[in-house]
Amino acid sequence: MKTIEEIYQIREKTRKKLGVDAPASETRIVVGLATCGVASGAKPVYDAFKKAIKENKIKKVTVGQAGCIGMCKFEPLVQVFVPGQPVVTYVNIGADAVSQIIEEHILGGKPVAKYTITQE
Amino acid sequence: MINLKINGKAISVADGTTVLEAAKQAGVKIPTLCYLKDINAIGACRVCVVEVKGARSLVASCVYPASEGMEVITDSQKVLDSRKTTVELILSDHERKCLSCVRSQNCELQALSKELGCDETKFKGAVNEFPLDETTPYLIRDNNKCILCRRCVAACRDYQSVAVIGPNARGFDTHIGTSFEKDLKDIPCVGCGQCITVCPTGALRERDETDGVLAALNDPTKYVVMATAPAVRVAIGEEFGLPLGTNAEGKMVASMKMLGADKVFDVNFTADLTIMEEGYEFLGRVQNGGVLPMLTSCSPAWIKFIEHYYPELIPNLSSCKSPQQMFGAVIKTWFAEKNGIDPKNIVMVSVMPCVAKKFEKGRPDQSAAGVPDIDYVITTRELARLIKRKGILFNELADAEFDNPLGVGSGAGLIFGVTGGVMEAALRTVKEVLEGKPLEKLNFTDVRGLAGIKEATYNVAGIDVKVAVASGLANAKKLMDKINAGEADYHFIEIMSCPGGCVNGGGQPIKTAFVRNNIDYRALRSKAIYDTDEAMTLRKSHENPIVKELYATYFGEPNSHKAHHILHTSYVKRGKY
Amino acid sequence: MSKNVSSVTSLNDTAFYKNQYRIALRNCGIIDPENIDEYIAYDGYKALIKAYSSMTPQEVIDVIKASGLRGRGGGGFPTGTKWQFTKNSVGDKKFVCCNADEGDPGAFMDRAVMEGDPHAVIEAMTIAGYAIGADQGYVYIRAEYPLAVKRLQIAINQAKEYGLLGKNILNTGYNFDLEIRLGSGAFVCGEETALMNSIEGKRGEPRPRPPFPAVKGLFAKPTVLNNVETYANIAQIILNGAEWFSSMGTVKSKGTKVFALGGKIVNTGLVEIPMGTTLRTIIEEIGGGIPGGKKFKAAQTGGPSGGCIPPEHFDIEIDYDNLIAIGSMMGSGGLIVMDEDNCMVDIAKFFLEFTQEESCGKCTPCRIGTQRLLEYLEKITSGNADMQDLEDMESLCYYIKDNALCGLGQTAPNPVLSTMRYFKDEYLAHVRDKKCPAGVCKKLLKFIITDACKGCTLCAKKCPVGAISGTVKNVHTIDQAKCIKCGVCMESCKFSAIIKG
Repeated sequence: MKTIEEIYQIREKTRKKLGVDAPASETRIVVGLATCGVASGAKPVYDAFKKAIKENKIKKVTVGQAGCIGMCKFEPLVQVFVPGQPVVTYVNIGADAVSQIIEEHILGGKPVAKYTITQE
Repeated sequence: MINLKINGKAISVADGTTVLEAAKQAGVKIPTLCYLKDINAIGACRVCVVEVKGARSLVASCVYPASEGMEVITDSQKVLDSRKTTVELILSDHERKCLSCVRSQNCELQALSKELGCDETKFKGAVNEFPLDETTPYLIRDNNKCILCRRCVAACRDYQSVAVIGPNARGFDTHIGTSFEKDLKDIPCVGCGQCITVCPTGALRERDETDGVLAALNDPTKYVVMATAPAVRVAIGEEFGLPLGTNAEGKMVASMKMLGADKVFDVNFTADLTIMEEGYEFLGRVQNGGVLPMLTSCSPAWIKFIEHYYPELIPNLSSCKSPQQMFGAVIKTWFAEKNGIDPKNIVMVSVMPCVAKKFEKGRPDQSAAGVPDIDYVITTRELARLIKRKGILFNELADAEFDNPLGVGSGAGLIFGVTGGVMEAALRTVKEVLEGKPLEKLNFTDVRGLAGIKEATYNVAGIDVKVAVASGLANAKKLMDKINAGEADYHFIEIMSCPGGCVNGGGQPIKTAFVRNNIDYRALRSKAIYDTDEAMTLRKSHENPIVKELYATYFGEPNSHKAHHILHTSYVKRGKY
Repeated sequence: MSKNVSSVTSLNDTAFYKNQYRIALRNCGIIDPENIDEYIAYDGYKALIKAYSSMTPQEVIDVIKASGLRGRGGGGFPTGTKWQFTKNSVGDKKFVCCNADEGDPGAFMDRAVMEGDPHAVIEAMTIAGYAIGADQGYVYIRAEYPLAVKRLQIAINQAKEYGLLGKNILNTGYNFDLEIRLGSGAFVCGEETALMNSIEGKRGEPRPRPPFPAVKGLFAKPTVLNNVETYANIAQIILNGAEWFSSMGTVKSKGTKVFALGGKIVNTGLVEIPMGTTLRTIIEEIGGGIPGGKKFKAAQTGGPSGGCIPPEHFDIEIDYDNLIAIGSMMGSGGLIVMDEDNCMVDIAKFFLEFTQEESCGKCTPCRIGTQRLLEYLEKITSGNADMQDLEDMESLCYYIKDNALCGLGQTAPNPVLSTMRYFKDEYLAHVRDKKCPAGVCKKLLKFIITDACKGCTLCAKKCPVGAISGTVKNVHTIDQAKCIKCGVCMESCKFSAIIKG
């Protein structure tokens, strides 16, 4: 059981990790994994990111999940939070897009425009 | 007190009064269909709707509490039109075979339809079709006539704690049924028939045996004996328009003689015999350290109930057959022998306030003479039907008396028809026999009345005998749970399945909800029994001269080997599934 | 838009999101719903701590009351008032319940919250427990939402582990526990009294009110029941104050509302907008308009209990009272857009089929009334109805509204009444002319080959039932008795020679 003080400590610690108030120290890849995302194929995308990070031994990058962001037609949907940079949203992607995103965006620092919303 | 206005008329009613009740106090009868006081206030049928000022829609008056300053309109055009449409909708999904329906002219739907000026063909469209459940010997469920008022569901659940029926499916397909749609014969239904007595339509009815009885009466090779249970005589008159609480024994006997029965006897006789057998069995248990408390065994739905739900308490049950079965057994043994009739040629017709008796007659170990003790069981309602079919003018008949010898019953036997009656009859005999002197007071009033559970302690020959009486199986359940929990120190318990006892049995004349909700018809029928007992000179079972003769010439003594063979029975463990 | 890096944006910069204001959905898609720390990072459980440490239960209720928050499940009853009633009720035990039995076809707001931010519900229910004096809560959630159930259970477990649920929460001396109860797919279990029956293990069907749940609810004890979205607003109101919340929205409807946009609209999805946003903004800006350049015909809100909003009300400011005034309702937030290809009679029939099937069967008006209503609609859409039927159907609608036992039944005729109100001409076309203007009602539909036919025989080859005959280079004909109205001929004709008649 936590005390109120401990809850506040968890808050500060996690805010730092997520880069809420100041740039975080790690890049975060967040896959929309609500029912809508899962139904449109987000799970393989999530797994592919996990696998790619592990296999390429990429440091300071975490892969996480989130709920529904609300835009059904763009599922599967992935948000990439690179510390100090605006968030990038990849839409309608499949597992086959993962290696390119890892290579060009996560490692190369250049978002993959063809998978972003500006494609329209 | 709450002050409100009904149709502009100011009225004060007690806290907790519903709009329906308040209206009645203001002289307005709001029609109802699903509502049954105490057990079924669910606002389902919507026949009782009224306008309440400020309410968004019409409200069901049966469940709507009266409140201070409320203004109710019960008779606006909108209300009357709504009720009419509701009944027309019900009629549109109702099998309208009224002309040949057993409940015609005693059907609440039919009456309402007429009252509200309904057009039965207003709504056309799909009509549900359901197969009949005719799997039990005691009742028939015809869902094509069911209007889903759920009164049967409530009676089964609240009166009897049996709860084997309920609504299945949903939407237009909703219907009353059993779990997994099993047949009635395959579920732990106890066959009490309370569902029938609360059904407003012909969706539930007894399995009618009148055709078989008629055929037997017309068969010259058959010797037909008819015998009536105590409670039939105080209810049959209702079927012929006599007031509630009329003891019509004389006319009943006269009309049965006109039906053509060879003998018309009285089951009160074997009620007396039961007291002898059960009383001695009880004494034996007390003296020999037998299983106590002893439970009565007269009520067949109660027997089925304990077999399904409390099989572990079967050893507590008296082994005595019910008065009905004793009657058939005595007819087909002693009476047959005495009169030189082959028991195979005797047709024993039992007239009962009960539908479970139709099940009981087919139980195992109920064939003292090698043939079933009882051949037909007809209810009070069916007897009335027979009388009407034969064109007998019941009300115009001169009173007649039961035939001899088995037409002799004591007042003690008669009060078997009311809850507490078996206990009182037993006490009259056991106390007087054990104490060896005439009783000063014959009335054991502590066990009388319509309370669900009654308890009393009587000193019998120096021993304090603690007794309990329950009617309605929900009340029986409470006592059984107490026994199982080791919290019951009773010696003797009387159980009647139907609330109030046999006067309110599942085979008795059906009272509309309006009567049930506003008149204590059970008390009136009971009063007729007690008044008759009070006026009799023969009021103790052991003083019944024919009972004495039977022991002297045939059984020897109560609980003799022969008596055991003919008058006692055994039970089966059924379980719930 | 060019494809250079600078134009690569997050969703938040799109028109879809710009017009939104997210309170209930604030964490959805942002945090990991299976990680309580992330919820805490975004001010999670801060409101609970605030309530416990610096507010009395009455102060909590006062804030909710002052915020103007109304029930998001559809009825729009003021939440604070409901809490106050329950607090005022005497009872040795009280309950807090959450209605997560989201059953409206096309609605998935609550699922999104539970899958994306389950702790928001838990925190709010715990606050409600504190406010009314309850130490036990139940979340009634439909079994068709397995992921929501899983995440909610994970969240409950984590909250218990952290001492945010259970006995002596955070050492404050307050207790509150939470359990999940699964619904089995009955729409009516979203009705509050039916829901409570279901939690109690009884058949899910409504009971008469009064008594209201605040007085005699779950297990006959005073009970607060709110839906998921309502709860999702609570912590934010406690944290940011009543004024912050009531500064959004209209005079009588405060805050935001989540809608599930569906039907004939470009951006289908979940949107949370301030109350008072116009239907035009929702459909044209947020929703991106109607695909294929088709014409807007109606927006259906309120699910099977709601109604259709016609083009003349396109600029209506969406709030509880405005929607009621035009014959629809807020409902739980489904918003289905229809275009010129939709037949409004068919739409009414669709919703009625749903309510008819989902009626619990307890009361006569709903059990049999909706069946008869549906039969009238079938008669109309098959060209067998006359004007008298139309009149009778309308009066049956009003009868059901006035007489049904619960909200489901009372609102079941709404789709019929509202389409009759705004699209009477379509009904008349079906009844008088035996025609379905949108070409949807198959029994009224006729495919006709015009003189434009070149006799190419393609349609005859494509017809799956061999209903088309004719010789090469001659005008073909359709045998109407054989035709199953599948429309393949019309689609395949290269000369637009086949028309709906």
